[in-house]
Amino acid sequence: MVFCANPSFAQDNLPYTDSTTFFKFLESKEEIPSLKFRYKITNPNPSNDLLNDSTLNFEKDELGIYQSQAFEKFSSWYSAGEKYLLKEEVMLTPDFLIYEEPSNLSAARDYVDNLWRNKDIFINEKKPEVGDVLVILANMVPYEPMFKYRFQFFSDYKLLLVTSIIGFFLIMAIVMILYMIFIKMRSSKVEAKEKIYESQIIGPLSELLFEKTEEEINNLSDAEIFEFFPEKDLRGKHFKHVLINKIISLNKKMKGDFKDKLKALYKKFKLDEISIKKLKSKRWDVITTGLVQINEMDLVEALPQVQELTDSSNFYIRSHAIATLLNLSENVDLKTIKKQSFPLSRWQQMNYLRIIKYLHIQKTIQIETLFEGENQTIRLFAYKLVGLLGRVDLLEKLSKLAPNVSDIEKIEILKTYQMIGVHTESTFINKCLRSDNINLVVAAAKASGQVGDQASAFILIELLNENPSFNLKMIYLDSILRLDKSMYQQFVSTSNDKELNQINAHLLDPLLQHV
Amino acid sequence: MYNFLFYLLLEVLGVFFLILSFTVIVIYFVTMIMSALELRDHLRRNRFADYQDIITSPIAPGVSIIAPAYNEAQNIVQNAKSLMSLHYGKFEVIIVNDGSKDNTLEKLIEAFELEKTNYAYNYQIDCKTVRGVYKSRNESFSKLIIVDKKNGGKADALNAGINISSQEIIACIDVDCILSHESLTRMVRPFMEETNRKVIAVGGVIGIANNCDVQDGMVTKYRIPTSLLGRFQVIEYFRAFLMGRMAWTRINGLMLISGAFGFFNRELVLAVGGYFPKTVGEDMELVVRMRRYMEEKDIPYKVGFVPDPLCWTEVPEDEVVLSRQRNRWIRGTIETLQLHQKVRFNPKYGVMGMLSYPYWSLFEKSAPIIELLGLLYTIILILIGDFSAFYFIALYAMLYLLSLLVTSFSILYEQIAFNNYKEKDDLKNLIFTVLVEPFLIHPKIVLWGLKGHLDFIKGKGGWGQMIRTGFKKSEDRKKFEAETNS
Amino acid sequence: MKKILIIEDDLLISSLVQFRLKKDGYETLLVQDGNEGTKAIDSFNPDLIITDVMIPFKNGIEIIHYARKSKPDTPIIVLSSLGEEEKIVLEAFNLGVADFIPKPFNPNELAIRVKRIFR
Repeated sequence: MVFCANPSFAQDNLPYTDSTTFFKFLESKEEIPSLKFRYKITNPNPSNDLLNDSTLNFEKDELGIYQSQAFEKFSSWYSAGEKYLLKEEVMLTPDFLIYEEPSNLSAARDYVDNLWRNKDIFINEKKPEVGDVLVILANMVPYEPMFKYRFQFFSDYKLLLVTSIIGFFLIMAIVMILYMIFIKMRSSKVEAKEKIYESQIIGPLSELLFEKTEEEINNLSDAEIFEFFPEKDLRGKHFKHVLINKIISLNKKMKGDFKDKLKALYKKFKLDEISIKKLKSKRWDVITTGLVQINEMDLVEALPQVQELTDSSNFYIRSHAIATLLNLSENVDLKTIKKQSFPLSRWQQMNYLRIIKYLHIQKTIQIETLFEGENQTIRLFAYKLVGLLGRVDLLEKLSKLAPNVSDIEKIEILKTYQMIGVHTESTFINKCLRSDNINLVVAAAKASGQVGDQASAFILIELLNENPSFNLKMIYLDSILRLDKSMYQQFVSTSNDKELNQINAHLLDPLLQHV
Repeated sequence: MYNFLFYLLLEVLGVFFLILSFTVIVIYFVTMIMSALELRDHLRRNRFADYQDIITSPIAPGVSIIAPAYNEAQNIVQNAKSLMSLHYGKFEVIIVNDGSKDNTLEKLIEAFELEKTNYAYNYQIDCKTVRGVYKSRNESFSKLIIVDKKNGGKADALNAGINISSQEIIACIDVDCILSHESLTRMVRPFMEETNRKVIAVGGVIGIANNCDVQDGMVTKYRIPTSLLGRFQVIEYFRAFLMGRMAWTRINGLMLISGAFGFFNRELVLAVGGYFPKTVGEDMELVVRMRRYMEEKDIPYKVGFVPDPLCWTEVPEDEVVLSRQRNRWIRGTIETLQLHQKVRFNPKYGVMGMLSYPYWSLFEKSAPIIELLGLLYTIILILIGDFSAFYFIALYAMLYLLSLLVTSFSILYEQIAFNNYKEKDDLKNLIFTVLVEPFLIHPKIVLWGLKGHLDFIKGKGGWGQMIRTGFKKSEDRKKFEAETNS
Repeated sequence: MKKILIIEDDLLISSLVQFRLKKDGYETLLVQDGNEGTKAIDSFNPDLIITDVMIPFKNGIEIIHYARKSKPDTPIIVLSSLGEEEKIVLEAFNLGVADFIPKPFNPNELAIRVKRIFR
């Protein structure tokens, strides 16, 4: 943290201020590394007992000054000179050796200062004595802000980061696990409950279905119903949910009068209200479930609401809404599809085709309304329907609009012609064969094999002479072979194109006829 | 001076690893949440899908199944039979005999009364010489086409199959895969659902068939493998498919579709030039190239993914075989990323450029290296007595717990969504595997990954130049083929 | 009293069938999967077997195979949502089942067919 970016400055305050406190400090330390204590005689006339003192052991140095021997311990040095120092007459001066170099007091202080700053020496721990010594000691302790200890944890960013990640991780993990356990428990509880309900439902339901006619079911009073199913259950949400599922799944697997009876029961139990209420939900899957139920149980009264959902932005809602509408409305009206602004996916097309195919048996369907569909996918679907349902009556309309639509639509129309086998449209086909759009040419070439005329064959030969790609050659040749065998043989026999020969062999191989 | 540099490096690496770990954690959580959401949506959508309809509807697209076979004589007939019995309306089964040294072709000819045809084979995508195309006279085998070609590897065999395929969608699969009857209907659905985007490819989940009961090409009883290495792969596959790929699908960032079970739009595969046989990671490379193509042409597109368990395969439980597989995977990843460097951090390539590619480079490709560095770093910290070693050990402990959490969740997803492994003991064993896997198996995976890196560095063969510069455009792959084959 | 074994995993359907057949005075046993089914063929010793094609553990074909071996004279009715043209159904016919009833079906119709088989 910022407060202590450089901790070495913290020991800035020296524990001594003058020479007295300095000596006090030295006394407390007793020893200082590489510092030795001695005396030198400053008095020009030293006394004899001083010079002969055996502990101090003075000797003259090269400058002629008497120097005592050096002591490592402060106490022994001090006691050796004590008696001379106490005399009034100044006889001795303290002197020092730093790394064996003679040094005076100020040099020694500088040296100790440095050691202190570099934290090489500390104040020895000792029980503070009472009184002023304590104050001195307190002065000696360098100042440090208290919060350094309190916030040391935060001062290390790595530790902080790791801990917060761990914390985040743990909380997330716990939340997720609890959530999962909650979901699992809830679903297993619901499952168990539903199993019980299911077993409760089967018996009475079978009885109702086999013993009662549809009319009798319709005339059942509430009290009679409660004889079969307890009122308490029938009001429960889960019970109703199970009942809905069971009736719908039975409805799918049953035939004839059972279907009608099931539908009557559905309404008798007021389950239709639940299904219709689902349409108001915010969740798309709930709405779609509602739609499926309405569709299965023929809940015609919900159709206005279903109609509103046909342009939903959710793919599932709108495709099921339309499917329901197609299935249930009296007069099958494709206008809802026609007005769709969303493109039709193939999945939707498949669903609608199934329904339309089914309805087609009973009623005539105005497929031609889709020819003017809002977007291209709808128009393409309409052309496809003509072929798939074999609506020959619509060909006239198709042939009128065919020359004026886009190439993609032309391709689809060509496929329709090919599918139904319309032999009257060769002019259109031949025109498409001359197109610049290669996709359209390919579609026309394929169609011409089935429904072209002599002119188509000539155009195809022309196209072949332009030396197209391998794939195109194959398509063109195949169509010529279907159109006019003698023309084909003549063309192949006069050609020495190696690829053509290969394709010829392929087309004539009976094993490959179905490829 | 050097002393200073050393400590600086330690400091920088420390921060790097911290950021990296934090990223890993965030990614894990995001992945878990996204995959859960995607799985939920998928299950909801599944409720409203009538798959029976696809089988017979004339609007459903046709599928060409392409299965390369190399020395598969033992099971090829059974495999072909089960492929032909899939529940679908319009489909063909193309088995490409990639120059097998055993009697794969003979077995097929005998079992299905095949005859050589005069098929006019068109090499739209370059591949090794096709020696013959076989079909059966017997009507009940009319779906079957056999291509016999010179050996050229899996990608080359697939290309040979793509050339001959005639349907809108191609399904590239391993011939020994066990496919569920429903696999085609379910995999085709994403292709049919989109309206505004083109679906270029759809991937599926691979299940592990080791130790499962298989009858007539169908898994009848699911059991987890007996060996630790096999079980490890079960949870690894859960993690990869139910978590990783589900999450990527949610943001349309999927870059890899398993070579064992992938569906593609045929026209697009042809447009980009098919598989690239020079790389060992041909499955990933193709998806990346197809995505690039769509981005470069600016066509909205989607790569789909179906999490339903549809395809089951035997995985290697032998350490040597598995190490080779992992070595290949990592080399494939490096090569693919190298070939498509242009995508890296390129906003033009959308999600792929800004998210998928960087993710793959940092985590899938470099993971073994980073993990090794992290380990060395911690050891050094301990040796020099640095106190931060403690943090790193704590960090590892945390990552371990996180991996436990993630793996347990992927198992939970499987249990909630599909519940294939019903035995209590299986679940217990899986959880045990989850606990020991980071210590017993993971180091080996890292080691094999590192070897893959080494092999990549050593093995830059004749196409070193190409791998250094990469494809400038997605369509460069065609150019490259022309150059090397001439 | 004639004994009828019903092998069907959809509890609702099978219960309905059971309910209907009991009304006609048959003794019925309901099992929900293939393993139970083969066991019941031996222990229950039915006079008629009604089975679905798609059931857990064993498919209907295996059940039919088993019944043919163990009780060659017991007639079998196949109940299935698969169309008659499905391969698996054709296989069932080849194995000589007495009747095939496609779903959706009418339980009353099933009862009539059962009666006809026993006549």
